[in-house]
Amino acid sequence: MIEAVWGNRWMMLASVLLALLLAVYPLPGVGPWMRPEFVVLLAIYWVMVLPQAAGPGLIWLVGLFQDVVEGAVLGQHAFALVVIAYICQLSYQRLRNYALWQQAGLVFVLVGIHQLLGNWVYSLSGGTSKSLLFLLPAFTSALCWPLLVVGMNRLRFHYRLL
Amino acid sequence: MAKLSKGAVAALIAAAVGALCLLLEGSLPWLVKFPAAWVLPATDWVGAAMEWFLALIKPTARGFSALMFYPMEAANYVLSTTPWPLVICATTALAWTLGGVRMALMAVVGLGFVALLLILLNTYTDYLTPLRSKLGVVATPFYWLADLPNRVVLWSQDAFVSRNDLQAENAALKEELLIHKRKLQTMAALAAENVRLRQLLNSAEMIQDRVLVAELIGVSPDPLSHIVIVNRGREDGVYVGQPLLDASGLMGQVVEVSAYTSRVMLITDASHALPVQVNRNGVRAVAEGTGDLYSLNLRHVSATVDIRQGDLLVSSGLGQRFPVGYPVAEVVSVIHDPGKPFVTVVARPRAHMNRSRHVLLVFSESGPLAPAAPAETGVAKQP
Repeated sequence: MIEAVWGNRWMMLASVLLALLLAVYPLPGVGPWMRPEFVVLLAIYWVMVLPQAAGPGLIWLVGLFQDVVEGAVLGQHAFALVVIAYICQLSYQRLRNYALWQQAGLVFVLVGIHQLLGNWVYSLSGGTSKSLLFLLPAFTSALCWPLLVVGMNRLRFHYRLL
Repeated sequence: MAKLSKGAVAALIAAAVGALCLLLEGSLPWLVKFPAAWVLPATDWVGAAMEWFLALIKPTARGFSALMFYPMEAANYVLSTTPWPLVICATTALAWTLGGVRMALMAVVGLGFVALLLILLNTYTDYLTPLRSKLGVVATPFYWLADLPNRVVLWSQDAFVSRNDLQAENAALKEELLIHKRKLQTMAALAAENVRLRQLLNSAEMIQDRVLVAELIGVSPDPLSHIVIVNRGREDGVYVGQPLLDASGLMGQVVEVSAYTSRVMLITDASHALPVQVNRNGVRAVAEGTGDLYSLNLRHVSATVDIRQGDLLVSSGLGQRFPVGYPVAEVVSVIHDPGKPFVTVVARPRAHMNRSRHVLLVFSESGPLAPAAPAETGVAKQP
């Protein structure tokens, strides 16, 4: 049992570290505007498949870590991720029964909420975003969702984390 | 003979082809250097596709934005006008009332509350700045790793270069050095003359700035802020407010220092402004970033000011932050609109904001600005 828990944690940690790396990987041109939010996707994924292991506290810590790594306002991602983790906790049973494309639709909304909260924090510090381009990552994240689920599921079954 | 595996055979073939290509380079240069004509204009295609796609979704986005605008605006208004203690109290009250309903919700609300507190502290006070600068070390490995492919490419460009190319480069560099040396000869005389004239005027000596070469290792993932990460930090003596230059102009200033890296805000960031002057006639202005990497706006330039297209803007040192006389931008357009009190002046930064990898951090020995002439020696001395 303990090994299983540690196994979960190990794989979660590895996947989140990779997602953080992707979150700061420099992209050229319009890339940064449409970078998928892999940390959010992973949070949704882990809450969906292992709700008992991915509690709000852990996800909050991941969010804070993301803030530090990205140099964002401390608490920005922590807040947004906790909100999303809560919504997922409430609906993970439904989420599991959806088809991949339906899940992608929900992911679009969730990442959209994440982006809206991020934009709110941005507006707190005096900035105003002139367009709704900040919602573009929601779209790209939804596109990445099926790929992520298939890949992560394969890994997860390989390491027998059920 | 032992049977080779498929991978080994493939590796052998690849090595053979590579060796053959290198041998044939003299007669068939396109074998080693990928011909420029073969490069597909993929970026153009992607750009065109993106534009088409954006045009397609624009009406939908507009409708969505109209739908979202009022609730968002209202929420923003409420949140920005209420004092933050009230927000905290309200959140606590909400947590209190909902706490009994669901345990999970209570945890979430508690964590969200702490996060909100952090956000507000971070936005409105400086209490968290030291903490952030300590925590910044955690980010270093991520930027280091993200920069790794880049460095491998640079290394391989250095390592796999033919002798001919190296010789050509060497010759070109020698030539360039000669040209610069010639320029420097006249410069020495000019500098001496400058010192003499300054002594005549009794003004302070220009101090040679000490610089530290740094390398850009990352950019902020947030497209709304123009912040880059350089590989020098507190250990190298970098301090907040230190100016950053590249080979052709001023790039920005350090905003956050951690142990081994620091974050630099570029002058094109929407929240950045710096005092400049026109090199031709010394007219002063403030150049503010627009959030676009290729343009700066000059603030409050009155319609009668002598400023023209092509003017070089240099840092004036008035903000006590940037040293005097570094090139900042070049004026690209001056628009006189009779209906407006000020002229719209757009300038293009001289520094290659999104291209320079090697940058310079400037240390000013006696503060950012050389001290002005002491008041009691106002009269010029006789030579």
